[in-house]
Amino acid sequence: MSDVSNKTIVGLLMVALVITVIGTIVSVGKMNTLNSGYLDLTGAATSASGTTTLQVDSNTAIVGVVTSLDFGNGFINATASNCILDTEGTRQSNVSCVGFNNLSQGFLIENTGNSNISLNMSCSGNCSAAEFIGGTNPSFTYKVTSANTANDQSGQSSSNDTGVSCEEGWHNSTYSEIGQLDVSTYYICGDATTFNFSYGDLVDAVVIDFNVTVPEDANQTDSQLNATFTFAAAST
Amino acid sequence: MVNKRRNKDLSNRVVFMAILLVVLVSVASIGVYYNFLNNYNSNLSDGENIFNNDNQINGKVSIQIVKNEGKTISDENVNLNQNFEG
Repeated sequence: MSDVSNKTIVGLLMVALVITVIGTIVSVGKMNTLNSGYLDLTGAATSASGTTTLQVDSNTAIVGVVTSLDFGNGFINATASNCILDTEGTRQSNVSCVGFNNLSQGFLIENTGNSNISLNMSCSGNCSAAEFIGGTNPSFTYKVTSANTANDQSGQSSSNDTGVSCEEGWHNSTYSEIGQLDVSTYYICGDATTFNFSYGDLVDAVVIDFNVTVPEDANQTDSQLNATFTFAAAST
Repeated sequence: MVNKRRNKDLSNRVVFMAILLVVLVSVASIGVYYNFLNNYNSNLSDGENIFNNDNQINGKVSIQIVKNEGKTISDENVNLNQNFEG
């Protein structure tokens, strides 16, 4: 190794000095940003008592316990003019409805967050009775029921409900045609500024039931027809 | 004279290596320290979601209406399979 001049050594010293100074500035600057948001956090106690802060944030979350309702396939008995199916376990007897599934539970949606929310629904696919069923005077309706009074509320992540889960009462609590949901979103509890769907363990679920009237001349298809519903929750 | 020259060379090398070491250690420590602070800061961020839940879900209603082959059921308690066979 050749001789290293004093100039080189001084140069290296200057480089080391500059790097050290810059590094210190960057590190101290970074530490300073900690103070801007976390003034209560201290590395060393300055008194005999300490402060611990905990913030529980608002969490908006819903769970679809039952999200698939399949009436199966079937037809109208030749002796009947129509067949009425629903998700409350009251399908007409085989005299009218042949082969369809007898469903006893509608969509079950649970507020699993920690804040009151609003809930709206919309539909895509075969939403109108004419599209979903067809024929003469078909009907495809839905109703919204607080889980505590629904035909079946089993499957909730916690306890079954014992009280009304929408503080103002659920909208569309009687059967209404679904067609309107095809063109707009409909609030079934609360609205854009009101959040009434409770999160309490015993008041946090809703059931959406469906009722279908299939006329004897309903559309016969080679495959299943679907109506897809989207449920969206919002909170402050 | 020669020994003095050798000692100076050795001394220069030691100083040079020491300074080089200081430079390398400085650079490395700055990197490690910066990463540590960066992670510490992000872990403390209140924008972080601990629970990631959905606030939108989809449900599907399905049905298929098939052709009635002209059969008639007169008794709701009848065995459908037997009734439609043959």
